Amino acid sequence: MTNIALHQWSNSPQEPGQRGLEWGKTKEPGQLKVLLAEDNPMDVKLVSILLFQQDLKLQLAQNGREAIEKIKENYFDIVLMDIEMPVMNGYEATSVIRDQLKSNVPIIAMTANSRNSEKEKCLKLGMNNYITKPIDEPVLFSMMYELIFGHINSKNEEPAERSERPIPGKVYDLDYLLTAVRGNKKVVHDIINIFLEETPGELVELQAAIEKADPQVTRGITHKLRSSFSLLGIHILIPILEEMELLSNYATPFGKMEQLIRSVNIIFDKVKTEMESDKIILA
Amino acid sequence: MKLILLIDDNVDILENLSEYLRLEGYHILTADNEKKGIVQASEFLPELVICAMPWRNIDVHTDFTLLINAMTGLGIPFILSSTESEVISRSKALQLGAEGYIIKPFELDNMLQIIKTSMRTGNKKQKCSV
Repeated sequence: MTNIALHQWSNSPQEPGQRGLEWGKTKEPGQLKVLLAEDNPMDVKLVSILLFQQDLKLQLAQNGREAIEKIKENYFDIVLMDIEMPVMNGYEATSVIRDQLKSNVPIIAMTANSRNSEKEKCLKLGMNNYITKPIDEPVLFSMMYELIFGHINSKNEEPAERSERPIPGKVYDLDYLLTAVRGNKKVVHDIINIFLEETPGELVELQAAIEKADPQVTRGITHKLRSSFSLLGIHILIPILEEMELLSNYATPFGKMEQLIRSVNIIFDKVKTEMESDKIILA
Repeated sequence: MKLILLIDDNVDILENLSEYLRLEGYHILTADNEKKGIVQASEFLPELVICAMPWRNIDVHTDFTLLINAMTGLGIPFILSSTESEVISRSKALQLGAEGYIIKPFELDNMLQIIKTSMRTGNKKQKCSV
């Protein structure tokens, strides 16, 4: 499934200016076309919901190669581009879009890394802006509208003050997600289901990559896991994954990696147990 | 041999305590901040973690809470050390799920006693929950 027909819901009444955003006279939100290049199904789900809430039309690409094909065939007002993707990553795709397709479509990079070097690299390659995951909704939309309409409306909302404080004794925390989807428990429930379905397989792949001492695959999966874990507020795994991502740059210490992934598995099992008992509340 | 991870930003305490505990026959790992502590604990899965509690308002110490949650997630018992009054640290430590707590500065003998008790009860608790 590559097309998400969000407009099918667009008949539902849209309160004008409900986000404090004033639309350009020429374009209604329902006419804006967004391309999302993203391989993590949890992020796809979340961004789809956020865009749907803004009444935007979305097409999906699962990697950079697909994004290029879509851009060749369709007009988009903006592209949201994940950096780490299989087949072709966001950097390569951007280079092709700018240098070969000669397209000026605004591109916002999305990544789990907040390193300055990565931000610079994105801008240097011709991306227009950069946002870190988990996505802060008001920040994303001000960026998008600024790039599309050339200005931010003064009525724009300030980025929400989000508490990133972990709660003692909780191995995961849905505060961010619930805020992002405005308390829509069904969506949170769906995202948790995707997480519980996808993660065990990814951990097995990661284990295999570590055993084969494959830095490329290791980095790819740890990066993807980092974005999934931070979306669900599993903050305790972030320092461990950061360490693994760092270690994957070196050839030798894969023994240490094997020990770290054992702990990632232990914590994931714990999270899973807690989520499964909490899921009843969310359903 | 039992492995213990010590986390404290005071390097003198880390050195003295590790030297003493090594003489008592424990293997010792140290970390001078909570994030390093999480990575160390994940890598070596020690039998016990001894960690300094931040002074006063614990709620703003994100990394400390993160560490406590990581210990909970990994099922590693922990002892908290504190410079605050016994009444305050006892209630905080218990609330956070610590096996034991100790007021700084402490007698090494007292620490050893708490370590032994915590390892016993902590491990028993782990076995029960599995």
